Amino acid sequence: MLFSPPLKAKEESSSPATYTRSEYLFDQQRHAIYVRTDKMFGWLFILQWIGSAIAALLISPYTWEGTQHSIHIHVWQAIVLGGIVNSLPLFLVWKQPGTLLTRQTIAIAQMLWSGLIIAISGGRIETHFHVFGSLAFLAFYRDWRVLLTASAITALDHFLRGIYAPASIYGVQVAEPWRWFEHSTWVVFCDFFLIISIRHSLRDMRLMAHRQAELESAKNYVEQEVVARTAELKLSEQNLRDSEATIRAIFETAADSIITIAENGTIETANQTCEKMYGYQFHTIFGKHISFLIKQIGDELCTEDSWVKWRDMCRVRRNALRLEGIGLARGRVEIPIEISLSFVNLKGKKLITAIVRDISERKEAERRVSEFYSIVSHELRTPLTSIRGSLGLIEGGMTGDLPVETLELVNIARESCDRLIRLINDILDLKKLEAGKFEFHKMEITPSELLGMSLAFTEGMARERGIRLELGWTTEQPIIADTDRLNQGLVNLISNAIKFSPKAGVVELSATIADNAVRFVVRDQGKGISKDQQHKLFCKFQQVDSSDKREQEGTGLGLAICKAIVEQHGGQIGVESDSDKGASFWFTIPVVSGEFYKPTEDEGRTSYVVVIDDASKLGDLLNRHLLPSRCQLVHVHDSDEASKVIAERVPDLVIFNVSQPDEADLELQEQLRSLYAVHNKPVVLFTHSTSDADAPSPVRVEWHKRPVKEEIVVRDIKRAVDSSNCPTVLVVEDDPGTRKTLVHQLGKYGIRCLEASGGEEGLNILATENPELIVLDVGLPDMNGFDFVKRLREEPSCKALPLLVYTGRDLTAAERRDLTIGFTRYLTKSKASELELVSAIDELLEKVRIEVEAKANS
Amino acid sequence: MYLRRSARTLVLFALWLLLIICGIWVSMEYEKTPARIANAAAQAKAIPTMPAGSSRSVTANSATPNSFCPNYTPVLTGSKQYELVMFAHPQCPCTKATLSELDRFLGRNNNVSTRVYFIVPNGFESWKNSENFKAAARIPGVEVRIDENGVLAEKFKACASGECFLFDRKATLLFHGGITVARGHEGDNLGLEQLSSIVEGRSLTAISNVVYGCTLFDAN
Repeated sequence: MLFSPPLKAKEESSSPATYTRSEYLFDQQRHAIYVRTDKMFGWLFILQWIGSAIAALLISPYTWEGTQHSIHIHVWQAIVLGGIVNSLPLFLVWKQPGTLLTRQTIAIAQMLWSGLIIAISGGRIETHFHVFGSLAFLAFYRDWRVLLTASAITALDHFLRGIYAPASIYGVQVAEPWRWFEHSTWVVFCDFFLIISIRHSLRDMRLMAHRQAELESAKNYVEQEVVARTAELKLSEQNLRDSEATIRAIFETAADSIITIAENGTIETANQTCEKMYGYQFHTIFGKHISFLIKQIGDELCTEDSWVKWRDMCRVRRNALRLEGIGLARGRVEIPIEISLSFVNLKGKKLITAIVRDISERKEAERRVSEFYSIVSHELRTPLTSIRGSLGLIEGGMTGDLPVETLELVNIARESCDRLIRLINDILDLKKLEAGKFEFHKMEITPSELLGMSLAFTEGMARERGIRLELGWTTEQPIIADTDRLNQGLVNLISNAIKFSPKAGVVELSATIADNAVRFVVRDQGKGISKDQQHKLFCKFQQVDSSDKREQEGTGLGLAICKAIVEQHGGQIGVESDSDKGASFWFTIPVVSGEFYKPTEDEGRTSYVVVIDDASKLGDLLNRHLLPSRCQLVHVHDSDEASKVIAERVPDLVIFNVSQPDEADLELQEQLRSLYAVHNKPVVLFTHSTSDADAPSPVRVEWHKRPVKEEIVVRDIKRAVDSSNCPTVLVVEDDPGTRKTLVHQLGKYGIRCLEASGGEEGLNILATENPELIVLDVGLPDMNGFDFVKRLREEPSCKALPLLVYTGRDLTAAERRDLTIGFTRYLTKSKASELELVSAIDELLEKVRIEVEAKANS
Repeated sequence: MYLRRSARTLVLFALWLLLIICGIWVSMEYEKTPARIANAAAQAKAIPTMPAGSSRSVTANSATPNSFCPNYTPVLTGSKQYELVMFAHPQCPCTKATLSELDRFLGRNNNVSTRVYFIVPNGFESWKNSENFKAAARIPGVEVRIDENGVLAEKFKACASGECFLFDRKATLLFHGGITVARGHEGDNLGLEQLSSIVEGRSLTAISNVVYGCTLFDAN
């Protein structure tokens, strides 16, 4: 245990490589200690040699015989014997440092030195400490074997000298036989502790070697990791540099100007495209406010204050804010731009990125396309309107009774013309919707009102096809919408539902509140639409059955237009259907609060209409259609009740619709006849009779044979309501066909028309005549509609005239503003039906009438 | 190659050891060699502990009251029972050990009057300041005297430095010889033991011992 090697448990627990390395380090360190200690002993031997020689020379340099002296033997001992003792170990230290032989020789020599010194000192007991000092010094080797050798030499020296020269070692002439043993025991005693110390020291050395090996292993691992990570880092940096270079290249060569702007609006960076677009070097715009480059964003001038607003809007938006605006290039040249602003937060640094695109070419292209559409719409719609109007007049018997075959052919021509007009209108509408050029005139309306309008438009079609329209649950939650456009979409859906419903089928309509939006649903009982076909329904020119054998006509644009209209209102559209179980088309319109125009309850309700109807349907129908005509409607079911109502207030119009009149009814008719002979108020009668002769004669207005067409009834009622005066209208239209058709159409409603084929002619007529309203086409040969209106404004007598702009162009808001004078309405040829045309004229005339009355009263 | 090298190393090692042993042997022989004392053989009494083969060993004369210096009369006063006369060479390095042993002896025995005579030849007056002279003077109870040209030493027939003569009141020579174990070696030795046993009354027998020290006079 005492001499066993130090424990290796800890080392053995480590990896073989670490263990081998630790053993190598341990051996290396031991060898280094051996070599170092060898050298120390080398110097010690020389020191002892010199020291002993000096001591001998100082203490006993000479031996004397009287006055004669000779060199003392101690001097020779120190020099010669000491030299001999030193010779071999010094030689070995020089030639073979670190070897076991060297160590053992040194151990022997050192102990001989102890004996020599003891001898020189005359066996002084103090010099025996040299032995212990030498042992301690030899312990520097940390090799217990040298201690054993040294101890053995010491014991032998003591033993031999105890026998042959006890005085030289023990200082006595006669030494006890065991005295060498006693001395040797003390040496062994010293060895015992030294060997323990060596053992501990070796263990520490081994532990240190192990730790160093582990440290080296860890260091190697760390270095390898560092090298690997450094390589990865370099690769990442290279990738980053490449990425940055790529991004930089993209940034610099981007087709659009890219500008980064600080929160306060100052320009921080800009790419080369920006320099080219604006004509500024970057250093000239760096640090300047963005308003230096951007004059206008949207409709608002770009200033420091407005920038704050745009910046805040960007902050709260997830997507980029994309707007059109005006840029300011070098020399203050204005360029139309499209600007996308997005907020960027780069580790706390907040920036606004502006991507600016020069849209001069696009604007020019848009202008040309717009011009093209304007021309196309005008050039196509104008003749088509004439054709349809003419065919309508012919069909209506204006040119006299036509043979049945001719009437059928005219009917086919008119319907084909209608289809063509619808197709053109759809294409133009869709184009405008897609381009975002469609202008919506939003107002507050309730779903029930909207559905009522749609029903009115589609009831006739449904009736013709034997389809029943049912109005389900309807919310009264107002929505903000362009009534005409939303009605267009709804009518489209209902028309589709009617077309694809089986005979005697039912189409259900409803409007409910769902998720802060009104959900309109049109449900039919058709064949339904399979899942794989549903996704393409709302695409352009897509029909579920696109084969040549399809049963229903259509352009395939209706649902695409619906989708565009709904989306422009911020809603969604979709369909739910299973094959053979019908389909439910739905769309949502968000419920939004805001201040929009809403007609007041009593506004315009000047006409007092009494309806005598034994069924409720006519009343509902009239109520829907007369509401916009500002009529106050009273519905009664029999003659007695009607007599009471009429006795209270004389109505402006009486609608008499009794399928089987009895005596009381006939009496009432007679009563009405006399009443209206006095008051000159019209009466509309419906009869099941086929002969006019059998019918009672009203004051005016045609008879209607059952079943009646709804729009014709409404038209006649409106004409009857306003038949108190015969208004004069100036029609300024260059196309003779359209002009003629207009005159005939308006004439049917008792409107007198003054015709002008151009602007100058129209102005001349105005100089002599006093029409109550002008119907104006925009595309005139001598002067366009804008110039005509400009001239009207200059004439005091004309600037308050109501104006109906009736053109084939789809007018923009700006164009409408330029064409506005007094009460002005705008109708698009071919889109507006005859009834709409007359209604618009009627509305304008009514407004004038109200204004005149108001002035008279005041 | 390795064997040749090992053999060469072994030979070298053996030669080295041999030389050392020889050197030690020579040294030991010198250490053991006492100084020559005149007339010693005739007066000496056998001393059992002396090495048998020593041809220069000194023997004590137990019957002779003062055969070395018959006319010498010790001067004893007070409690002093004995007088110790020692002759010393002022430059002898071995005498340091003798003085040390004397110091040790006088420390234990205060009934001895001690005189140390340093032989100073003519022309060597500087020896009067030697280390041995000063060391002797520092020993309490020691009377240091100069023996010009060794006149007294010659009377005593003293030959070696450190040679001691012990007289009692009757001028009887009780001890003659050295009081160190070897040249320049301190430590217990036969001479000192004999001297102590006489003055302490444990022995009355006149004893003689070898002297380890330098020769007091020139060889010729």
